[in-house]
Amino acid sequence: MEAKKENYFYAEKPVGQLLSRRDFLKAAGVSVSAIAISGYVVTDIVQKRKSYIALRQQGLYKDDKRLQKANLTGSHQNASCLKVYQDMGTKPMGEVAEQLLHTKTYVDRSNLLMQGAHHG
Amino acid sequence: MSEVSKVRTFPPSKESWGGDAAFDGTHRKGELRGIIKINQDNCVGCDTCTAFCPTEAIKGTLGVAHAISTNQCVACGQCLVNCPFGAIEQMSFVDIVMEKLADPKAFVVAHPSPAVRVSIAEEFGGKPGDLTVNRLYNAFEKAGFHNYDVNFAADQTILEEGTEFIKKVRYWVLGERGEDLEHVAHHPLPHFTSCCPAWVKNAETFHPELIPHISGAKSPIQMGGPLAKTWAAEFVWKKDPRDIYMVSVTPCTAKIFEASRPEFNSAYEYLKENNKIPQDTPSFQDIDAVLTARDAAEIFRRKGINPLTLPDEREMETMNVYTGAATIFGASGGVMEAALRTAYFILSGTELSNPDITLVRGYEQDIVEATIPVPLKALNGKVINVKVAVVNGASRNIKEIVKRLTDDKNQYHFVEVMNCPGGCVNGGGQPVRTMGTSWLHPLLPLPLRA
Repeated sequence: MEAKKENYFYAEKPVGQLLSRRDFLKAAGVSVSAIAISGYVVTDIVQKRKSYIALRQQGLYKDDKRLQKANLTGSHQNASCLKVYQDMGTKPMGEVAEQLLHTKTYVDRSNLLMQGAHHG
Repeated sequence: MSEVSKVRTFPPSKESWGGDAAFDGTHRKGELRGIIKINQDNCVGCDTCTAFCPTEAIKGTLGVAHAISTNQCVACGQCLVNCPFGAIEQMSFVDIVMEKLADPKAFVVAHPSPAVRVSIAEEFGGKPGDLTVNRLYNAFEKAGFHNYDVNFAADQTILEEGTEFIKKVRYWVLGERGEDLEHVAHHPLPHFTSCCPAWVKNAETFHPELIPHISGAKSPIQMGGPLAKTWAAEFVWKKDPRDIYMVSVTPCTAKIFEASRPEFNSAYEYLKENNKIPQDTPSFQDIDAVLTARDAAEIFRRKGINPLTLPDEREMETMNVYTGAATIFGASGGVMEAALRTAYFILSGTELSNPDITLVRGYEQDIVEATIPVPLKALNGKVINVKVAVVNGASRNIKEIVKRLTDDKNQYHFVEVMNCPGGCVNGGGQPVRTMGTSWLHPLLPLPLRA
């Protein structure tokens, strides 16, 4: 038995005058890189969008560290606050503190919405 | 790269405080409404803002000019700082404050919030996070203000709110009873923070069932107002409280609303009760005007002041003393961390070995949970685990936290809520970043850039 022999033959098909196969590859390559680069730029902008939040937070934690070094870490170490209680003759949640520094007025605004409604 | 864009403003009109009716929709008489407005001529209907609104208050679909429902709006300004086209405008008190500064009889006080000291530099070419403390005080002084740092009042808030939280723990966790705990019997855990005015209005409007859980301690600014007109007037400045004009300088637009809440005239009530002012004095608010960080920068510009060129030195004054706990209020998780530092000290009798509770920090996670073991001095070192949660941005997370508490109301002792993702540093009154918030800006062709 004789092995079946196949002859392969391939010739580049003549593509119209507009775009040869090689030209198409070039054009495709250029467009892909254009899309990739602009996609990267947009992603970069989107990612940087929030960086200012982190930077401002870091500014506050830097301030915190500065004050911790001065032995001002927790609010109970603030001498001015203690002076307020002393001068006003009160303490945290004392009578005067309740009157000036606390509120009992949170309003049920959903209720207000309903009061505003009418049947007409 | 590091530019900020200009935000259009408008002065309050007569209608801004409402008519004579006791209530109008969700607003009471005298409360400011319409603080944030979408300019119908400039809105292109891109629909970016709706995703940032915590209460779904913005009406309109893609391609249609949007509008804000006054009744649903909590005035947080997140839509404004995130609008890619600068079409959203803010009510501003710049002209009113400028007039007061020109009045020789008025004792005008600047009351700057923590987050303003890390953002105002951006309005003068600095970078986000540039720390301006003494330079800011000096700038205010040059502009004709006296200084009273909100951070000082924030320490006061922690002492009040921390005491309140400890009482709640004693009553609800340790089962103690007593006369001094009667008050908290009606305020069960979980304890919610009250510093964020947008969150408070959100809860009042959409989750009234949470009202008894919200701390009765006022926000730092609203503690500063009455303290300025009572304590500082008498013991520090030695001034007639009626001449004191309190201007809070905030990263926030919801604070404009908060200052107009009718019950926030407690200095007036106190002074009248104690015969320190004549009985026929007309009522005045604790905070007379609110400026955003952008507004304060505008005042500096009008007066030809650049805070960045001023000396960074100053003697420490009583009115500007504050701790690290106070300054971190401006970052998400900060109120929690500050409260824990003091609550831990009071409950355990010792300072936290490491005061940096980094677990609750950050800006990318929606809800952060942590458990802090606290040994109790009164119970010979018995340890309780304080379970806390930080809600970082209201727009997606309020529903989730309510859902979790519906499932198990005991899963947290303390919940901090910040309307704006990242906390006040990202507030609606902060400088608007072209590279940050208004992020389409660099993609626009030059002639279209505002």
